[in-house]
Amino acid sequence: MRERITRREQLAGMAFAAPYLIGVAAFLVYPLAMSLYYSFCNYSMLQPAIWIGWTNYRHLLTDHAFHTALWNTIIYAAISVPFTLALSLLLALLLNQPVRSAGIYRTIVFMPSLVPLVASALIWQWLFNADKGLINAALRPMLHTLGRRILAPLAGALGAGQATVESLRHITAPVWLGDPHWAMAAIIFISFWGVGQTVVIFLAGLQDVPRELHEAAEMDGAGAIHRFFHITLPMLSPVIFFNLIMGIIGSWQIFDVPYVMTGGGPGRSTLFYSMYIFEAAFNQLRMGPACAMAWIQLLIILFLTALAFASARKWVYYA
Amino acid sequence: MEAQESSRFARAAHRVAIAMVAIGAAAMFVFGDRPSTHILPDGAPIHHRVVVSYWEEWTGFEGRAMEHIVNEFNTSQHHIFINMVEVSNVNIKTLISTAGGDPPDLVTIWSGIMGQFISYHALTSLDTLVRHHVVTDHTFVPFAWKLCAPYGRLYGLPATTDPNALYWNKLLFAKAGLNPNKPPTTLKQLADMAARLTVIKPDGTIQRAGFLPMEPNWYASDWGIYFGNHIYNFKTGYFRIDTPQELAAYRWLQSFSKRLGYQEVDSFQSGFGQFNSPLNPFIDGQVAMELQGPFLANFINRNNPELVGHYGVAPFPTSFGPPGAATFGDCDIWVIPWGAKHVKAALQVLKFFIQQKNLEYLNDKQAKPSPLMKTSAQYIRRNPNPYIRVFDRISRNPNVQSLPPSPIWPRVNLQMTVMANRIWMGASVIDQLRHAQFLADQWVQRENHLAKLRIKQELRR
Amino acid sequence: MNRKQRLLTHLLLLLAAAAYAAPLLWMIDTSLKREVQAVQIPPVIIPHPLRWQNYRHVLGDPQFDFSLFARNTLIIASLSALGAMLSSSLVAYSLAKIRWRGRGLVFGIVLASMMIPFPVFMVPLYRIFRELGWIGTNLPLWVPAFFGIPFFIFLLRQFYLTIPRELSEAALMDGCSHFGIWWRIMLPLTRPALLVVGLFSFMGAWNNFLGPLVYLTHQSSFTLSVALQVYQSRSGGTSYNLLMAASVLIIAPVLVLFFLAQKTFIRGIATTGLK
Repeated sequence: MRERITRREQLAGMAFAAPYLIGVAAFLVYPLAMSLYYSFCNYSMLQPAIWIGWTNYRHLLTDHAFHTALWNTIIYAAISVPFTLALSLLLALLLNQPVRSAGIYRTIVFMPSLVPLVASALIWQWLFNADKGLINAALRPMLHTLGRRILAPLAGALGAGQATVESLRHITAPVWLGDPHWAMAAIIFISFWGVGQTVVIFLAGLQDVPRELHEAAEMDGAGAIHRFFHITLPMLSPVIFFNLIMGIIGSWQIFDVPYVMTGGGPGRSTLFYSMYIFEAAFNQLRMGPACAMAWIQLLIILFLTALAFASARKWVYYA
Repeated sequence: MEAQESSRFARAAHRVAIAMVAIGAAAMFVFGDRPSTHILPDGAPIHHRVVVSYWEEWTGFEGRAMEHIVNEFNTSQHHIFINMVEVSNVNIKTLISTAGGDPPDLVTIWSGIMGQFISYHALTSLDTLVRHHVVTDHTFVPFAWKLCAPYGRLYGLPATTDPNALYWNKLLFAKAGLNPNKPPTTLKQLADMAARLTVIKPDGTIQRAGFLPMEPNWYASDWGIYFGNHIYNFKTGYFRIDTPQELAAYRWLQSFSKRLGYQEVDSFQSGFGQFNSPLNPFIDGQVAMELQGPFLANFINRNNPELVGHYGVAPFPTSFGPPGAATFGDCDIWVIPWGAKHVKAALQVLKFFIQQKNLEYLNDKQAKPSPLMKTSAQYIRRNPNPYIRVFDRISRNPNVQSLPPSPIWPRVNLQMTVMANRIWMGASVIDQLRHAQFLADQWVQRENHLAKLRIKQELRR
Repeated sequence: MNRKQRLLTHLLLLLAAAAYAAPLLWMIDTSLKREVQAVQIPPVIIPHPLRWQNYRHVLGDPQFDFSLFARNTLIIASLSALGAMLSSSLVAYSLAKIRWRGRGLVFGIVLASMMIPFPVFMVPLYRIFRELGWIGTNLPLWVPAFFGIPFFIFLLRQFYLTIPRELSEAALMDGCSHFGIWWRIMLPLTRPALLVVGLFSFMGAWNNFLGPLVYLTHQSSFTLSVALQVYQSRSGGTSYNLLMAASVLIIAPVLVLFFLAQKTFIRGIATTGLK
């Protein structure tokens, strides 16, 4: 049955939504259209924009730094998103155990997610300092023993060459932010530190799983692991889905931590997508390529989200 | 149960609301109203003056030197007030604010960004100063003038000059059995001495390095100069990167990391203290020789006075001639951004800044050579840099090269730094140079292409 | 759970807690050391003597005018919170409680716009703010909050939907206007949810980095996040003990707010993930 919408209701509804409707026009639709337009222009903001067709997009095809930024972001998203999801689910399961002072543990795990990212970046930059940082200070003696006592004798016993054994004896701590691969690893690692909010969402989801289901399954003799995969996980799938979407959107926009911590280096090994857009737009005033890249970013995110939604039919279970 | 829970929740929420309001009110109260920053040094407020906003990059005592001149100006007359602010990342901040239509009236920028600023129409021309004979092309040392007026029109005035030279630690030379008064005169000698000065700890890590081309890391794109390369072709606007000279330069750079192991050096370097601290690697003796600007002398005076008198400065060796046959010079430049609101007043300020007395005061305090052709005897005497004569000679050397006034130099510079890093980590030198050359050519072509399209469109209009 | 399991759980929890707390503790630790002690190898665990002067040094640094930056941040954060609460609840009310043509479409836009990355808007918004003469002021950072934040609209709409229709319908019958219902019934009923919105937008503004980095061109209008980055990257550099002290100063207010509002926080975050 369709209810009749009175004129008064229609006006009231639109009036209440007016701030957003104006906002959509001013801060969403118009900028979106302008950004699309500029992506086909040569534009520095100091001179009028001129139309240059597909040139910006064509140039991006052969822009090495752009490829690096795209690739780095793909790597980051592909590793960080699933691992943070798994880690926060594990943490949530652990924190959901009925033990004493569980609240304190939860608070401790949650706190880092409140720390402004600029501060996080500085804290970790200091921790990852190759020479004076806490992480390598702890790693060095461990690696020393590991190399001399375990790896080298083991390799020797397995008949490895003299050079290999010798290099294993002198295994050293990574230089982290000074090494292209380890710098990326460090930035991914930092994303694990800020999972607090995801953990809390999972915790809430876990508490919504009906106790009776678990009890019934236990009576049927199902083990803990069986129950996790057949009850907890399906019941939790909408929450996992939500966190997945948020993770995808967030990881493609990573900016603060690498900008402050490495500035994209060493080389270009931690140059991420949003950083390169920022660099093009505000360090070089190349607004055209910046907008073109931003639109490509938008399309990638939309595509990945659509993919997630399409797959959701197969694995997300709505009670 | 549920109801009780939610009412507890509501009460908690109430508490939070009160707390938030309290924090806000407290903060407003504590931080209170700020007095206007527009106050003369003697505390008197200003009335009816044009306020010229001025951004200065240097902080600390270097910033204080500029502040002194600003105060002199503010008390010398009654029409203009300079509001000086110390701004970090001043080049980028100026570019963004100029694009945003809200630039400062006057700003000190780095010479390497001049080409980009000029080509983007981000600067106000200062030709009126030439027309009124305030400055001529003989007022300043040639390389500084060339940076300010690269294409004939004047866009800035030099504030300070930063020619580079070799610093060496005499104490460490003596310790290593070298003659402390004989710096290397060839690059080969420099490498040999560096090897003798290097100390490795028993566990294989570095305790002291003789010389590290990547310390400090801000000259990573300039090494070709000492091998006789001229990186920029002023006529065509193209770059020369994959030349035999650059090849030799970066092979030379790589030889240091090959000898010491780049991982070892990297770990060693990450332990260096900040530039302005007693833990600066040259100042505390972790590195025996460095290529540096004149300002380092000031930081030695401040952070380790015991080193004063025990270090030397000389022109950097070259591969093809005596030391100084080619050198590098940098510059801080005063510019008026495009769209500045008080151009006339800013010009007045500039006229004051470049008076001999003021420029010499500023460069004295920053331990740099003055950019003026004319120098007074007392400026050399007063300068805290014991080697000011060495630097002064370098900055007047006709062989001094400076950063290319190309609109894409910041990008090429960044790429060359990336390239130097990769070469340092062991990448093939020739491949890296070719790649950088390819990119630089591509950028120049694209820039030219876009400029052509722009002209065509403007003609059609 | 038997004893062995309980022991294992506690062990794992302790490990996790240690891993998550260590960076913050090390930050505080470093902030209380002299520079020479901070870079000592092997690291000194307990700073001796406790160097509180670091904090005085940071607070007294003319380059890091903490009270000014804190004030700037506070103003932006408070106004953002206020704007987000007012506008988002209005819009959410319209979407949840008023029947009008087009509301489905508007809700669709709300959902879709959450996915659009900020860089897409960055350049054109800069242009718009320039035309408005807002570059260099803090307006670009809080005015948009008064036009509704999609995420919060979504959140509040879900809350409003849980409130029985009869309540608002009865009030309508009694001649109450929609505005009256929103103001007198809905806002008080959903105060916790509204507070969540306020808190989140406050925190978002406090932690925002890219926005202020782009729009705030004058040092005197910087927020704490940008100021911290500037403090790190200034000429000559800043040593780690001072950087850590500055970081503590910036993190502390957020953590205080969190401890005052722990429940609201956790509740709020928990609800975002549901449905």
